[in-house]
Amino acid sequence: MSEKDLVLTTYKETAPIILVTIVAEIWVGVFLIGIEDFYELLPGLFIIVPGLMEARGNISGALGQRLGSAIHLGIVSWEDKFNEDVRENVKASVSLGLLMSFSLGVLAFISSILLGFKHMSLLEFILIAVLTSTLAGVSQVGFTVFIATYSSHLGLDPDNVTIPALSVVGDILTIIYLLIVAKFTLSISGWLP
Amino acid sequence: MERYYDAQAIINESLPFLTFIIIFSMVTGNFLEGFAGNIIEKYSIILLILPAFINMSGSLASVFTSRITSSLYVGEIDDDFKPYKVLFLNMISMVLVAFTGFLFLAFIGIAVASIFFEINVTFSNFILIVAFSGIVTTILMMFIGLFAAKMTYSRGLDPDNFTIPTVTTIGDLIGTLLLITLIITYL
Repeated sequence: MSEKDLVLTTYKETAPIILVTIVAEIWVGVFLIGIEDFYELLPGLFIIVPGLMEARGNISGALGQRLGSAIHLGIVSWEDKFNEDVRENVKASVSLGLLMSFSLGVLAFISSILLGFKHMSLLEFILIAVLTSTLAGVSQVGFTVFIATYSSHLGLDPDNVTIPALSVVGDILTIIYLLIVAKFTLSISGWLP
Repeated sequence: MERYYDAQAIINESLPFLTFIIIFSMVTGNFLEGFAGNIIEKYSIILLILPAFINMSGSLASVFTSRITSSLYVGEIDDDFKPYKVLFLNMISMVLVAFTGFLFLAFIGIAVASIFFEINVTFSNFILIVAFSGIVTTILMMFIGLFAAKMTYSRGLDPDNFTIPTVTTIGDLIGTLLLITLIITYL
């Protein structure tokens, strides 16, 4: 690939998806401002939201980056997307998501106490973090494998598109699942110890 | 064919670092809220564009490191990142995307903000500040990503497990600080 081609191809493959992420993230911002009521009902929830998005982005982003390298090395492809290497990667990402969300629930509870914030119970913190992260994590892992292998099948460089595509879908999925899990937690909070 | 990845090895390599990163970002998030809280209340448009702003610089630096680690693995560049031409061309591509993206973000931020509230910023200054701080953050993040890749690869670790958490977390901090500082100074 010539120098001009490398720059142009990378630009052409990355710029459109980046512009889509901007529009989506602006609406995520509008939406997060709009759900302030939930923060009142489940005090301490605002501490978990950025952490959940961050952990989710880091874990699935790293998966996307590993798959990008694996595709370039010829270990993984669209035709061979369920092989043992992909399964090991998926297993690692799902386990990391579970472990990280559990720690996040505990950390959010501890920091609420340390900072003197009004907060929900430890069980509610863990329940919200783990359930949201599991639901969002499993769908995202599937999406990551699909977008990385399918983009390379289309002749695109997976390194250029997987991470931006993932960041939009990931944030939107996390918010949707967070709302569902928060509503569920509110509905059962009377029965929780 | 021999298996290349092992779930347990990925978890062992990633978990301590990811835990550190989450604690680090909780502490910096708190610090940023204290630093930027007042200014965000004064200019609602910042609250609107901030998630997209930090997401974009993180994504661009991640695309860059992802491309670099792939080049490293297929032998296009060596572990000192030579030839530098490949590195340089990749950086140029990302700066071009950043230029397009941050200008677009500034314009769309103004358009959406004008639907929801009264805008109290000078358009030209706002656009310049968003574009400048976005591009500078992206460039800094690419160098930090390279440093993270170098540190991990030379120790026999997989840079794919470390570069994204590093650039997104430090990027949040530097991007927000730079954007808010420029806004306080020039808007």
